Amino acid sequence: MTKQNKNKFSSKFRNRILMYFMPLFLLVIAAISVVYFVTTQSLVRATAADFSEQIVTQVDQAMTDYVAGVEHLNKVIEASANAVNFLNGLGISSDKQKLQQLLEHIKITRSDVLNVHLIKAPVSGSFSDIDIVSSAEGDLNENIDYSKATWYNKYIDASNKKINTFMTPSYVQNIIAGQYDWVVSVGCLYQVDNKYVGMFLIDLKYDSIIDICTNIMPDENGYIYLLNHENEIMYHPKQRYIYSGLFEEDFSVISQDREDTTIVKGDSIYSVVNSQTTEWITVGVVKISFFNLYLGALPGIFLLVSFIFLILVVLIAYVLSKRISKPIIQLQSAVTQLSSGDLTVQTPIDSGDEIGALSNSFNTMVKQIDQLMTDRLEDEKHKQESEMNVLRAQINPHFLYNTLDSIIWMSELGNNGDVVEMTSALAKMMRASISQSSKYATIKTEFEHIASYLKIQKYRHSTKLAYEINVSNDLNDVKMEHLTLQPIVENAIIHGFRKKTTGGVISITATLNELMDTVKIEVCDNGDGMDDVTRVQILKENTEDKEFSGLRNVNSRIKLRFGEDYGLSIQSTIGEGTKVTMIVPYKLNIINQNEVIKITSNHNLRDKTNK
Amino acid sequence: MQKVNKRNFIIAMTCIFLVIISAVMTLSVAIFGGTDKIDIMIISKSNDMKIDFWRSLKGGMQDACDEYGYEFNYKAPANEGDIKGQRLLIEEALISKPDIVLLAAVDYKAINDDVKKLLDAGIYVLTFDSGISLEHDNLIGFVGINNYQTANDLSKFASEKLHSKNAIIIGHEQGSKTARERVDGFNDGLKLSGVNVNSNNIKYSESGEGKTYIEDARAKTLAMLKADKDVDVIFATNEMVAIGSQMAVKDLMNEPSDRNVSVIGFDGSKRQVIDLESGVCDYLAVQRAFKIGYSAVSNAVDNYLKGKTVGNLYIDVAIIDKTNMYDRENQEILFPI
Repeated sequence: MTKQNKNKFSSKFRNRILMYFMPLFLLVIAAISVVYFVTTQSLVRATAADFSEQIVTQVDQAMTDYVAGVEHLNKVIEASANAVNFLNGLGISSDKQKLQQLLEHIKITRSDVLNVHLIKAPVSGSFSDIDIVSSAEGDLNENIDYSKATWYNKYIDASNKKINTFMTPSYVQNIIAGQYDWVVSVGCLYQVDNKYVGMFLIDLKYDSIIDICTNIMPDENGYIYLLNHENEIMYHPKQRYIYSGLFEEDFSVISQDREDTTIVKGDSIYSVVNSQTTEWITVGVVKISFFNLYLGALPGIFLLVSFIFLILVVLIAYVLSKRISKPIIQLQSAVTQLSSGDLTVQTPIDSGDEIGALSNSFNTMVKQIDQLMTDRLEDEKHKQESEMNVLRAQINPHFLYNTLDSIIWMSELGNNGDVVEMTSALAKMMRASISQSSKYATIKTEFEHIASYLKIQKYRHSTKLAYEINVSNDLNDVKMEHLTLQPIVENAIIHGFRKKTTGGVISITATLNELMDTVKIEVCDNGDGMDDVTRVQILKENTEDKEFSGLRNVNSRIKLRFGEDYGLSIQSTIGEGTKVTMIVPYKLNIINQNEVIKITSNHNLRDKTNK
Repeated sequence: MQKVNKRNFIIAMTCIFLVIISAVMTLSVAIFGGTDKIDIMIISKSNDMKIDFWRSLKGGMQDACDEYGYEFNYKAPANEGDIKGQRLLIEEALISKPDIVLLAAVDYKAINDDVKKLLDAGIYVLTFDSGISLEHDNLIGFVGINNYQTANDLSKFASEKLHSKNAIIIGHEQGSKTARERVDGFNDGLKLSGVNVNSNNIKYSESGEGKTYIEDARAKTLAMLKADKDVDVIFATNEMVAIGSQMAVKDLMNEPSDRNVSVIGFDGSKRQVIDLESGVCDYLAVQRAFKIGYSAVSNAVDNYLKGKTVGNLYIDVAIIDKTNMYDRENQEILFPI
């Protein structure tokens, strides 16, 4: 029961401590997480934006270098007389062939160029004035519809705006019959007399643009696209998706006033860089989620670490709570033990804190209670012993007065011989009563004593008193209280034979009962007897009546010494006599109450020292 | 009372632990990409990458698979009429048991039983380009063009070109649902204007013995053109019969004749485009093959994950003539990068 209580208490207490720890820890983690996420989020955005900007600038630079290199081819054309003649419409067919060879040479120098074309196209003329010399093998496309050709429209547009170079969006070049290749073209316009007469058209392989723009983003979902100055797509990795309606690019990020910007929009960071020649715009798109993916591992690690720490905290909290609750549980269990009557309990807590102090106070308190209890028992014992002594002392004067009276009386009568014998008997008796060195008397000593006493009394009441003593030698060693028979016999003589003048007989017998556990000592007289009221009155305790105090003392002493089962009982019939029966234990295996307490006490002391 | 407290406490603790553990798991799954792989098998009609349509369509499927992170498993029989070959592939699917089969049926009813076995085996099937005449809970639907409607639309353009009252239709594989629908759509459109329509289906199986399929179409078209001198519109239901028809028209033009026959065809291969530019062909109904391929995969996956089957997803068709062929959008359709 105690153990169960202890467990209940401890689990409740410990759990409460755990419950306080847990939310506290979770709160701390949550707080750290929030701060962490907020700071990293903004950091990630800034880093991603920087990163994107750098890449876009790089691509723009690469494109600038590339286009500058391509435009440089124009110098060759400008230096060629054949070309100039062709554009002026002065050339002859052999010149045209040479021109074609030149273009072929130009084309060969650059692997990224699909074809170069020198196109004579006076702006004011009709489509029939258009003449083309191309580096391409194969015939020109006879069915070409110039009004629909991207390069032609760009040429007209540029000449109207008086721009000397232009870049087309990506388109399918159909100048050569049966060839439909995706290109991005660079057009270099020529003027004669302030009139545009044609252009040098360089078809860049679409693949070469792809090479510049792809595989530069570290992120699979990030990409770069190029627009020409009219916001037409020169290159977009998702061109197919866009024209299939599977994807929509957000072109609104490109500012109308051609400013380089970096914009965060939704999940994406758009970095827009305009080329120095304003011919194209490079746009980089980076998904923030990509950077979050990298950093995204961090929250996971963070959570994992938190989780591990949480387990640790639970363990630590468990151990801590155990440590905190242990002295309290010990104290509680000590109190429980105390309440069940164990006054030897002590708590082994030796901490300097409040609980230690409480424990010390508790220990002191228990010690004091124990001391008080021991002292009280000692007091009780002393009190009982002194009472015993008083009782013993009460017997002696009666006897002495009576005997001395008898001796005086015998002396007066001159019975010197009797005086001698009586005095000798008195002396024997006194010796017996004084020499109460041992705790208990025996039947032998007590019967000797009563024999002496009766002898004395017989001298005093020679005529009216006769006595007989019957005791087996087997019972000689039976323990009994000192001087307990005498008051009984004395009473028989004084009260029983008050009216009798002769023939008073007192018989004293000691017999062992059948169970062999008690000895019955009977003092019978054939005196007056008594009524029941008196008989009951005699052994009644706590009475003021002093008449039978001797018998009452004897009874108390026996009961004190041997217990309530022992003592006196009286049977009496008026006119016939009285029988006083004394029961004492045969073997002294019954111990009195004082000794019980004492033994228990010693036992506990031993327990304590064992601990 | 204390016991109850203790139990509540333990339950609360367990809940907290479970929440944290599941959070960690979810997060790690999200981070380390523990998405469920869906096993997709594509049983197409053609693996002839010389045909622009199939090349683009396959590209779209490949892109979608790459994007979703699924393995790209594309298979096709020997040719578009190879019922036996496709059956073998379906049997293969029955053994490998993919989650989804994307199917372009070579025949709209001949392989029904085989497909039903797939569906009964718990495999989801989505048809693309050409469907089948089957209904089943596991049939996700069809992704492709509305063949009937497109052909019907084309018949209106045909009416403009018709001077006489005669037109012919050169259809491709007869068993193909696409061919049937296109023929019906065109036929129905012209019937309203009282046009005589003769149709002839070119069968793959009959184009053996040294003749290519295109040559077969060319010969048959030429024969029909010669048989009926009033025919001035040819409707060709796919790339190959269109090329064949165009060749037949060019053959006819090489002979001294004042006939002006215009071809209206499906698909937009380079040879068709050249003829469109030169005026032999007047209209091309070009499917957004890439979009069909991509949408077939994405649609199948989306529906599979959502556990629902939807009806047909029709991808719009670009009708291209000489005037709009170099429009930005049409360039992409006609000349896929």
